[in-house]
Amino acid sequence: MTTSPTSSANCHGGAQGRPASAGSPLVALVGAPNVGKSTLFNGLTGAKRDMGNWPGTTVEVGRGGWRVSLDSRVVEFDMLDLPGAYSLDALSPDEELTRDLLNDPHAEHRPDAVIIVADAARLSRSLYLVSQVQELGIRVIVALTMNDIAEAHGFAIDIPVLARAMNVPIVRVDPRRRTGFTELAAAVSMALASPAPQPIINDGADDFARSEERFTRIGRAIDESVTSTAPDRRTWTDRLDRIALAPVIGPLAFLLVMWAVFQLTTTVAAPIQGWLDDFFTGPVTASATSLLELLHLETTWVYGLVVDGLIAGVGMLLTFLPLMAIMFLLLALLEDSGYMARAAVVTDRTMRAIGLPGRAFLPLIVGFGCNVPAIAATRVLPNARHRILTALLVPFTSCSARLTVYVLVASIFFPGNAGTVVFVMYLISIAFVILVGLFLRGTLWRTMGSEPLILDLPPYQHPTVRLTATVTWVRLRGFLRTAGGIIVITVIAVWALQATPALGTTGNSFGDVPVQDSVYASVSASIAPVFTPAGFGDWQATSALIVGFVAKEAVISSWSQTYATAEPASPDTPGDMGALVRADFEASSGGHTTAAVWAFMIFLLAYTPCVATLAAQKREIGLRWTVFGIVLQLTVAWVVAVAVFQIGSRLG
Amino acid sequence: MTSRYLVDAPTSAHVTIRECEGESRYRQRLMELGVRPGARATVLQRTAGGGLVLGVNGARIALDRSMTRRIEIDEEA
Repeated sequence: MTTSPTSSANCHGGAQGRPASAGSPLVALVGAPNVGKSTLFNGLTGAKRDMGNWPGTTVEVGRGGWRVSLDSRVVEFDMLDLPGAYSLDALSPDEELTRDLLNDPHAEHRPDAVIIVADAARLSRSLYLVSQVQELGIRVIVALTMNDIAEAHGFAIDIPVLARAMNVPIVRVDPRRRTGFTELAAAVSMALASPAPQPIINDGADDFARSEERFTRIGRAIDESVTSTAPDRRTWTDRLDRIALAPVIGPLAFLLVMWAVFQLTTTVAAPIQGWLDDFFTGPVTASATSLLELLHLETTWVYGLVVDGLIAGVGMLLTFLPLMAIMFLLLALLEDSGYMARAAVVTDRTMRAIGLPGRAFLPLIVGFGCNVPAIAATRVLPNARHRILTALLVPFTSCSARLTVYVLVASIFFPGNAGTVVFVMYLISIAFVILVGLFLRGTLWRTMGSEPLILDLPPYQHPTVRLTATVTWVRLRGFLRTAGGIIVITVIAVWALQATPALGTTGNSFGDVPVQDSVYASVSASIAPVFTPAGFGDWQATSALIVGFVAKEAVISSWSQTYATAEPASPDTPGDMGALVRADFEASSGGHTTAAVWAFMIFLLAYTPCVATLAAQKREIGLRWTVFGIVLQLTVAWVVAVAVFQIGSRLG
Repeated sequence: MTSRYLVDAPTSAHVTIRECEGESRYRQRLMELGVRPGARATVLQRTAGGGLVLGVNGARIALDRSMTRRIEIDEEA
């Protein structure tokens, strides 16, 4: 959550418009989500902002200059785009910033005037915010949007009458078609010319009574100014909702949509991902090698740093890009079209069992494809606690990278039943999500009552190309910024550990060490005893798990490196490596191979998925919760793995 | 006119909200969304999970079953 508009304005330079000249009056845009506030801000300032058809999308504060010529002179306003808020009562944490800024008369960035973006189609709700802000002693101007929708719904609004009844200037604007901007500027200019109104001091009256008072006043104003010809006429949104929200058909339609999302990300992104991977391990590595040979550096540590560190790290980051781009694109489409709100309704009851609202279903489903976009998808949740809980549960959904390891391990140890074993792993994954969810709710969030569902369903609309593209790009850029650094640094760190000879080994120099003599192996060997009670306490399995901390894809390549054989051509044909892995597991488990293998696979399922996921977590829920998540996953993974081995080895 | 709770209102019924019970922050949210004493609303459809969609002043509000049990209404003939 942004705490200061200035710091936010500085660190999101790319999302800002041109700043206003110093001394320009500060004007804030305030309004409920989905009323066109961000679109208006962009229209006025020329800035691009993350916009979407989901309540609470605009969580960062945008700032930009609005220059407009009025009566042949140019006036300039310093515009703030405050987070969406239905009211100043701050039920959700995202509304807090707006409330705090307007409430405190001495706040550093308290605006000189507030433009309240009001939805003509939902007038009474919008006017509630107007009357609240009026009471604070701030100049208020109302920009009335959605006038076409109000007309389509059969509402005719007499603006002068409404303005008089509410004692506020009202200007019709259309942010999408950019009309009414000059009139708005004139109204703001005029309001700024007169002194700010006196605040109405809270006389200690009950909050609820006060809001009832406000609604009574609004009700009278609406009765005077609005004529309705067709109240609650059925629209095509209602007809679509007949299907999307219906019992039985609604959930089926939701599953179909989720399946399509899942299919699109895997069938479209996976080949591109493979192609990028080939590109980096093939041509890029080859040309880097020949370049280094030209410079006579191919036998030095520089080669390892460039090829095994930088190229591998950047390459891995880039292989995630198509996956993330497609996932963000689909999310933006679902949000912008208005379907996400329906999905929340349909899944509400099921998800409530683990204390999460219905819309948390989406990130969890996405997690089975890849945890990284799934963590990013938690931002569809407006409630911060729900976001944190969901982001902590996502890593327990078994992503497709883990699938490759299950397939390899299962085909080594259970060649006849590999398919069933993999299926069981997915069932275990679902069980982890439910049980850990219940556990966290029963301990950490005991006070988190199950919130009743009160959800405003936005009308369906055609997603606009520009809006969808903007949202996708803004999120992708955010991912690259935060995840990029972490992934590259971690890959280089692992390379450095593998390149450094361990103390006590001789004849090795930096960058020219067999894996078993590196710091990496000695660190693995010192950690290995931790896994002895789980039946796989040797350095070979441990080092694979350490590499798996970076990325699960790396487990297989690490094993092949460890066992000094060629990487198996495909996970289904383990070849010689299979025999070596089998022998090691038999030794480390004292003969209880099956129990040890299950313990190993379960540990692999439950512990930290990859650094990219951690990077995404850090971005969405902050460092503290990310660290909590790491500890949680390692603990759960270890406890369950030990339990499985201890029980399994006694039974077997 | 009969007084009862929203949960009992049949689909397509036109109702007038009498009172909303429960925690004040939820009553507050309902008021912001236009669901407040005296407001006229239409039960547009039932939803999966036992809730319903209420049409109020052109807005569409999804409520779960627990909420519909706390909203007292008058049903119009």
